Amino acid sequence: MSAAPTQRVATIAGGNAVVEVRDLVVRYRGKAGGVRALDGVSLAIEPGRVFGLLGPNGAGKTTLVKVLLGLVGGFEGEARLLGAPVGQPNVRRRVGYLPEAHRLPGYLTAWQVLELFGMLCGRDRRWLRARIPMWLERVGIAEAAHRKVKQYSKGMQQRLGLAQALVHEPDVVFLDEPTDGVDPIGRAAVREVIAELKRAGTTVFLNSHLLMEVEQMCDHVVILNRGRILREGSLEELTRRTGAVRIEVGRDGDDLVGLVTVCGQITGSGPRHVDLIADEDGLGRAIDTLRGAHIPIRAITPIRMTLEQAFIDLVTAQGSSKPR
Amino acid sequence: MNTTVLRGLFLDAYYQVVDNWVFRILLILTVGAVAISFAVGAGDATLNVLWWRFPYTEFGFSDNLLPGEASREIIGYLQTLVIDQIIGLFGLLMCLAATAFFVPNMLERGAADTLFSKPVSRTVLLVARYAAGLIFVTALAAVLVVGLYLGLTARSGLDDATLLWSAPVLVYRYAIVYSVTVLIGVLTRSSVAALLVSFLFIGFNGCVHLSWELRQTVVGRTDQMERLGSERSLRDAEREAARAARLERRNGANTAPAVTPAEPPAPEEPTATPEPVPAPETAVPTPEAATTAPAGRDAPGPFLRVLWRVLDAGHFVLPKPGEAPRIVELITKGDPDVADATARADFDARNAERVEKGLRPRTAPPGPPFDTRLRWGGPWQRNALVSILTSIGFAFVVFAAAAWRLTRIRF
Repeated sequence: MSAAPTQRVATIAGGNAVVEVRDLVVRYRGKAGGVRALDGVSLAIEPGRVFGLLGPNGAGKTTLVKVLLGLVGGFEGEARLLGAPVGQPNVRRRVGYLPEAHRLPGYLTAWQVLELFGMLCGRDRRWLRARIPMWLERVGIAEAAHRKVKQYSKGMQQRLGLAQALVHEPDVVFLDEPTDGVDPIGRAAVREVIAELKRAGTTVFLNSHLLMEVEQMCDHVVILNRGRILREGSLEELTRRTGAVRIEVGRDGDDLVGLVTVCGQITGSGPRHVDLIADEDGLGRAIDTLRGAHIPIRAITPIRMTLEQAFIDLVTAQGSSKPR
Repeated sequence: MNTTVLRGLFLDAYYQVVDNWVFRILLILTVGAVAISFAVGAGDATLNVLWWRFPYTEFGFSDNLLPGEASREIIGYLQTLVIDQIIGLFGLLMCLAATAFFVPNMLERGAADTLFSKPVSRTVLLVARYAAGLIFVTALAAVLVVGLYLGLTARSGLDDATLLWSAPVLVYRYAIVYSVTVLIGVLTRSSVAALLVSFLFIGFNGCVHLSWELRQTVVGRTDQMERLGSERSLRDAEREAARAARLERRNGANTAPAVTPAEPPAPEEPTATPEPVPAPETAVPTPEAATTAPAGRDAPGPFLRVLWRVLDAGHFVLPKPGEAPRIVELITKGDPDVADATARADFDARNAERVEKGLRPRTAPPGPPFDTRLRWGGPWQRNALVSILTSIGFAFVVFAAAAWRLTRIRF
């Protein structure tokens, strides 16, 4: 079906992938032949994972999610969700979705929103009535349950959006910027909800620009840019070691940099630490030098890249990160 | 789709309508109108406002009335002027203005994503929004019409169930126009555009049918005049020929006969009898009559011929919500000819009653130049079934186009 070259298939799944995408190409009509929002994306995700989807603006993240939800048709390649082609009603019944900048019906109360969306997913009213209070409590809007949504703040709407994505207890949840507009306490609550979902074996597909959150919540990450997968893997694989170590000492006021500079390359320093790239001999000499100067060593730890560093390095290395 | 989903969609539509502030205002106005019907009653000779009684003569009504006549006239005015015309047009526009945003709001970015990710087809969701509009109008129409009926029955004793037909007529009119609002809402995702185009459509549709009706009236009246004229001139010619023959016979008897063998004898009686023509009051002008001129009339030019054809096609294809009251008349009163006979008998009986009571008899109002009423089995121009089917068909096709377009939108 597709003429696009096959990229590496993210091998996160075994045989029972929840999400399976192969050579996915999505074109949007426009000037000069249009835009390839997705350009031969292939990936597979196994159940029970919290999966992070990263990328700069216009990378194709939302398009990928919308293809999986059946909101965008006319694509090339293959896309399967829960073992069936995307867009099938019986599959969508098992899926929850919180879109970015979502809008819930302002004429409904929070309770009615959860009831409506639960019923649209096939859950009967009695089943929902037993669970709606719990979900309102978990996202922290139980007290405003019978207020119209149009009276809600952005953060409250975001919390309600999360509840509507989860109220029917789906097997897969797609969350697009779930903490957008939510205060720090609310963010912690959202993270807790996601952790609970993971414990319950629900697959979570997280799309966020807050890389620290992704780092805290996700098992696996795919970085997209210009419609193609740049990198995929576990957090440990993505945030590889830099080769540097941080030597932390028990007191300040010493010229740490002056003492260890002959042992290797200094990449950073502070009053009580120095970052050093050195081979084993160099590191040993640095330790000996510090001990010789009677400086107590508290810790020596290898320095890993942050996800943010890894992300920026990858995207800038590929070229422009501007939206096409 | 199971009943849970349907129930959810119905509840959503209901909440959307109930939350609408225009709906609440219209509902208050409607309840006010109903309250008036309970407060003001039409008696035999007086208008009763709460406990006060005002003779009809104070309002310019004639005192030459039988018991119940004024109240019957009031019902007639109420149905045709207030419900069918004022509420049928201005109420319709208000309802359209209040419901035009239902579909565009659903298609806004963020709202559409959330809703269309659910396991319900887009067509069903669109039908639910359309149903929300219908619930809006049905609720108001039901409160108004049933309330007025109860008020008039309780206060004035006017138990005329035909008044109840006004409610489905209002919903029928709205349902047709709202399909256009839905289509434009899907195409443009703009409430303002949907509303403006709906208003333009109402105007355009009205103009097409009005032009067609005017054309039919002109054609019908001209045909009628020509038919009457040709009948008269035919009768005059026959009379003249008979007179000439008599005169000739008389002259022949007085003078020497000079009849040539080749000349046929003059007929005693006219041999040519006029073609049977339909009674003028039941003649229905046909498209052929509109495009082909009878003898003696100038044939229309090619431009006019095309224009008349386009007008005919427009009248056929476009919905005819304005014919709804006439369809109701057909349903409630039955076949127009039978209804005419009944009305005539009723009219004569009333006049006899008037004469007995020493009142002046009434003269029947002059009828139209030709019959414009609908019939179940009439030609397509005056066929009630065609009117209903083409109107509903139009709304269905427009709605199907909206649903088709919606399924192809990438959100």
